[in-house]
Amino acid sequence: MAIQLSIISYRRLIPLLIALIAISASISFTASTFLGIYDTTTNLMGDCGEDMLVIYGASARTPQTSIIPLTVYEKIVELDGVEAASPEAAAIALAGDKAIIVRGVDPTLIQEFYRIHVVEGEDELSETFSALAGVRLARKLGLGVGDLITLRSAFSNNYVELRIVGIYESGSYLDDELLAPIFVGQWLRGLRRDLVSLIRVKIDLRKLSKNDLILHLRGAREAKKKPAPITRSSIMRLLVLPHARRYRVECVVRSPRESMESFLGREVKINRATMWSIVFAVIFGSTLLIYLISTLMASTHSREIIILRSLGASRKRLMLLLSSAIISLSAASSIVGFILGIFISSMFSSENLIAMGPYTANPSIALEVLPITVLVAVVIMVVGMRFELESILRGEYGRV
Amino acid sequence: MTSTFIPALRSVLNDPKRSLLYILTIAFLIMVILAPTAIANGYSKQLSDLIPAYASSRAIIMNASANTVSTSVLRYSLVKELRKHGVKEVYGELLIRSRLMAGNQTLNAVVRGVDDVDGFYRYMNIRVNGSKLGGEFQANVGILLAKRLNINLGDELNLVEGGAVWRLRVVGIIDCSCPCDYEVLTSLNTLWRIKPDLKDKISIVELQLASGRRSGDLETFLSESSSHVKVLRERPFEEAAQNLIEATFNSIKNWTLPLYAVILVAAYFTTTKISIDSQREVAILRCIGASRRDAFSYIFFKALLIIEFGIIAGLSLGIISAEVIFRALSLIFSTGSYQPPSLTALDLVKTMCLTQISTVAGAIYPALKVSGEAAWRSSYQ
Repeated sequence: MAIQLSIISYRRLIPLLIALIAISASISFTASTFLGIYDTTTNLMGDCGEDMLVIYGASARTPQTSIIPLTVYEKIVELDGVEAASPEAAAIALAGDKAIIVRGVDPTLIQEFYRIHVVEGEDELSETFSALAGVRLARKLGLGVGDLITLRSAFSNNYVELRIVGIYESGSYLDDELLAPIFVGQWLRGLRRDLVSLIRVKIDLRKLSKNDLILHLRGAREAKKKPAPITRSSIMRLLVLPHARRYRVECVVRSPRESMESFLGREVKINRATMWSIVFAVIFGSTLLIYLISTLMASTHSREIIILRSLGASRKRLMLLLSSAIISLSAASSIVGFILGIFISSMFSSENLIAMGPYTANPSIALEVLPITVLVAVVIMVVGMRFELESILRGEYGRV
Repeated sequence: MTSTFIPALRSVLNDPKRSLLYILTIAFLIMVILAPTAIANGYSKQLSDLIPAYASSRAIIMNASANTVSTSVLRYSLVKELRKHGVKEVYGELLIRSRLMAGNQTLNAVVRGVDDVDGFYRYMNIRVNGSKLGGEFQANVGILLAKRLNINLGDELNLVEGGAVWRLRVVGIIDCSCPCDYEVLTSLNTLWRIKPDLKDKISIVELQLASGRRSGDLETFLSESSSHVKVLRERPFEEAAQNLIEATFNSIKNWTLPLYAVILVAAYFTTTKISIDSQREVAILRCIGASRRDAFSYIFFKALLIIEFGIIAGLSLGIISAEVIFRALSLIFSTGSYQPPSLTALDLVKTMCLTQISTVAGAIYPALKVSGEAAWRSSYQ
């Protein structure tokens, strides 16, 4: 046992350990980046439980680009079991030369769906020409409380100047957006006052199911109404038209994540497996380098191996000895590399180097990557080591 | 030094198995970087092509040094100059934020002064309940603002500006599904009376170019008229979409950056392995009188040749694999109309430069190390 321990010089293995860490870090970085991009996109409508739903136009590609009449809101808000509903008008606008998402909301209603924590300024959108900036957006555009920002709509001829009254943090995609009163979203989206992009709904599953809501919207089944009359917020009262136009729009009701996953799968043809295939491509690309490292590990110990062989050590024993070193080396480097990869990914994310359009992609921690990396590294290194050991024992390194 | 190039090349060719292993080690890593970049370029181009080539004929003119509309100050004479230049739809507007009092309610509101009321209302598709602005100190109020402050036709608004209270009579309620819905509109002359320091000044000019007129003409005219202004297109959909596409696909390019560090590591270990493999050859070279420098150049050339072959193989594999992956995905998802993967000249130059730097940086140290050891090694022979 004493002989076994003395032949592996761990000092000589340091460069190899660093190389394995670099490979593992690149795999972990790729996984957390690409899975992060996918997860950020699927969570663009929020990542919540079954009681949170999104109502949007059936013909729209995404909830954000949909247009539905505000009468849908009127229809559902009075249903027994609907705990909260928030109509939203999302638009793309240019602030200077940067495209940003402006979400027109009723500030009191949106609070039911997100924990919006104001880090600076106030949370009241008391004036129409005011806005709350997400913390990441504020950093990106260099916005502070009291600043004025002129937005040019990408969809209509409207432009609007808003005063930033607060900067908020929600821990969601909203941190990359500008929240403004709902009419601002409608102007920038080029919508009439009785149209919105989507309606977010929170339901009490004991009283109302998703199917009940769908059937009620289709007019196939009448759902039970709330006993007490509804009190509308001041902003929503302004939007109500005395003679509402009739629109013929078919709506879909989906969970926020489901709505985005269906968009990615149907329109962009991307799913989680696509992202994993990129991770596997990086693993595949690194195989020969791992192989090279294993051969180097053996060749740097060629003299010791030959001495042990001369002393009577069998090939199997030598292989066992080197394999134990490989396993410990691979496991240690994979763990360090895994953590390093996530750290680099977070750094790239915080520097806004990895983004999905206007949204910063948050890195995803894919723990599955760690055993895969260890397994791949061990298998390739054992194979590489075996070949190199044969070369050494054939005397190819004997003279050095 | 160049005398060692031919032996290095021969050595690479004489051991094709090992050489191929080293070449492919570098090539696979380059392929991993290039294939997603090429596919992303194809998707990016596809999306860019999908953007409708729409250029709005409407524009806003602002002071070039102003970042926002209300901080922009322009001469009103610019409007006259533009009209004289033949631009038919030109509207000078002055925007201020003032304290508004109606009944017992107060609010910070935007007051917009316009010069050509009829033209502006037509331009903005504004519907009026009541009458348009006629005389001085009359106001049209946006429907949302009117609802919010319970303002009705014939009511009076009090505008607090510069310590004074100005009284405006509401002659119309306007509705346009635009920001004017929450504003007070009045004539430019009225606003100049309220804000005398802004007399003959406006914030912005809104205009529409007649069909067949190019925006370049306007920009030339504005630069000739020595106006310190900037022209911003309205409805910049193409610009915004392009901005979003670039932000997304640049992420893929940014993702490749740390992978160059792995290429550096690969180059280092490839050269180290080449050095170990070549110890016997280096020892022989030293025995027949080669200097330490020659030994270094021999190893370095050998490594460089492997690396260059690796880069060429990597570029080819990258492009081929991108095509194969793309075709396979197109077949699976039936997306035949998508743009095939492509690499821009800039991508190629960037990849080649970064790979070259990483690989040469990775190769120098092991080559130097083994050339230093060569004399000692040769004594073993």
